[in-house]
Amino acid sequence: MNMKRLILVGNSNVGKSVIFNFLTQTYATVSNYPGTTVALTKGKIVVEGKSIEVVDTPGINSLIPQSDDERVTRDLLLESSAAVILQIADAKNLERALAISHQLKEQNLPFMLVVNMNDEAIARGIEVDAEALEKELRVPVIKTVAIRKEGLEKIIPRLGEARAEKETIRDVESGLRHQWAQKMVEGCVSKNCREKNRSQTLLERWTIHPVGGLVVLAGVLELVYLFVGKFGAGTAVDFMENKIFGNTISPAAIWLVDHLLPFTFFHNLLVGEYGLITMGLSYGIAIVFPIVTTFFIAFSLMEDSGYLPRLAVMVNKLFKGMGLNGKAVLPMVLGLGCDTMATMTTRILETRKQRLIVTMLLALAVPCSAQLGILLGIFGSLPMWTFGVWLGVIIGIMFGVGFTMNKILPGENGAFVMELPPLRWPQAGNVLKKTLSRIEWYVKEALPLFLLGTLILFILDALKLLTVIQRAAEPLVVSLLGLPKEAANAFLIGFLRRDYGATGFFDMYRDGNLSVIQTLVALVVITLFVPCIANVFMMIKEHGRGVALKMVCFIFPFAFFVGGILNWILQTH
Amino acid sequence: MENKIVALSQANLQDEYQIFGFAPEMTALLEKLAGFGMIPGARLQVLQRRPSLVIKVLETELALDREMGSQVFLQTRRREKSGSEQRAG
Repeated sequence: MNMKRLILVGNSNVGKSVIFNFLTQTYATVSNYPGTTVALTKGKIVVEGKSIEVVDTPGINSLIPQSDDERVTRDLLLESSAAVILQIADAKNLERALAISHQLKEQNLPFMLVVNMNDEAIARGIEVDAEALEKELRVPVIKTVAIRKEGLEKIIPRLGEARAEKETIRDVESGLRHQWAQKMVEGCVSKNCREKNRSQTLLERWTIHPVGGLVVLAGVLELVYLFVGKFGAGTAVDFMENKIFGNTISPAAIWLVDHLLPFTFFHNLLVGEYGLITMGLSYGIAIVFPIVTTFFIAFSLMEDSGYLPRLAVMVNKLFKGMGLNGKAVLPMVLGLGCDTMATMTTRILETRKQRLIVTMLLALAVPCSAQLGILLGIFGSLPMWTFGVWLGVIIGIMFGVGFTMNKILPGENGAFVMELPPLRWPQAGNVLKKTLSRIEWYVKEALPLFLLGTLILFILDALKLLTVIQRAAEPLVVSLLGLPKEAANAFLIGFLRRDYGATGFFDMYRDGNLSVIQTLVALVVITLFVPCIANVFMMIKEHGRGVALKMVCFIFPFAFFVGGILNWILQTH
Repeated sequence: MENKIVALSQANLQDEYQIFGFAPEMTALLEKLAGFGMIPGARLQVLQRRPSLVIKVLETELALDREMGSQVFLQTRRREKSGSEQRAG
């Protein structure tokens, strides 16, 4: 058998990842298909003594591409030589799968069909006759329940039987493949509809109920707050910052540098006030890393359980006023974890207009987990009403800017069509893999940029430019925002190191240098700032320098403007 | 039993219908919807209308824009007799 590559294809939510993990066992790598932003997971498997590459593709509905995911999958299939395709299907949705099978046959691609999730099918009175299906399709057909590991052992032995059955199916043109699929299912699948079709479980109905859905949403938010806010931003960060960096790494680094490179320059550069290790690394690893990791875990759980699309259903109407639809909930929620990663995720939105609006809203109004963690801690020490004002202003601006952009920008708003998979227990393996791959991205892409930001601060400070910039910003800070001139420093640093901005103000408040109103104004302004330098780079990457520049040139003055108005309102009332 | 055609927005919740067709405004979406199994002849139920339109096509649940409710047309299904009804004659 001459097979060099095994490609998994299928609809979304059919269990491709579980089967991929079973086949490849050891750690797999994720990389983009060349020239695209679509990520493919690759691993290896040994069949008859030979090592074969296994590739997992994103869920598709058709090989006639309607999205980047589908285009890349089609391209991969057509250009792979000596490749065998493993199509994974959902037993209860075989019509959709067979429409894809038809396309595979049309393209003369050798494949094998794995009909998965038979447990869910049987629960709905649906039973697939694999032998009949195999006879009709003329490719191997295997029934599995992947999460219980049933049937999976039959896959590898039968890989050799996968064949291309070029079929110019009589009386069926390509547009009618769905009718063909329907006929196949009628012949090979029994559907016992004696009882009424299984309706949604109570929980599923509650997650998208007009009232119940909000209750569930509040519950989910509370859980995420406890896990990310209290455990991540509190316990884990304290541990990393104090025990690991404070007691061990920073002192060791200072000792090492002072002994190996005993020059002031190196001391300042690496372990000084703006040192790459003492500031840059400690920030990226001790503070942001634990928070972002807990957030990614929470997010992966929401993804894998099937809750995320239901969240989209709840907020769809809300988002429509901003020219978006429920699908935008994915980058917006991810933005609460990391705005930079969320900006990258705007790729899933269908129209350019939507991608621009979400990018702007992320940069302007969505605080990332690092900032949110600090802010929530600070608001805990301020009077309650300040939090209400902050929240109201941020949300109001988000809707206001979104609504305005929707009116101003030309272009289409995408149609909202979202599949709601059944709610399932999240699979530990899936959640782990998704979280690890996001953490890997963070370490490779975001961490270096924090170091870059620290380096810039170091250079500015060394060249004494830091004081120059602060002096230039002072009039604005003092007259417009009603803050003492020291606040300019906190704003500047706040852009390059998120938490310093907010905690800088909090320190000033605690020392009695800022009133409650002043602190509130400062926190609102810094929340509206572009999150961090990594985010700016991502904006450039996604939309080009021109667009990124325009957005940045709008955001900073606008943040000061809002601060000024807020200050004026609060001072005079 | 005659086959009535109704718009999705007028359909009774939980009743079973068959997709009859789509309004011309939906042409751009037809291929995408077909990928989810939404083709003429497919069995469909409307599960809820608020806060979003949620339907079930065969065994796939989909959330859609409310506007689509007036652009998708359904016909009532001929009910197959259940086992006990057949025995009763």
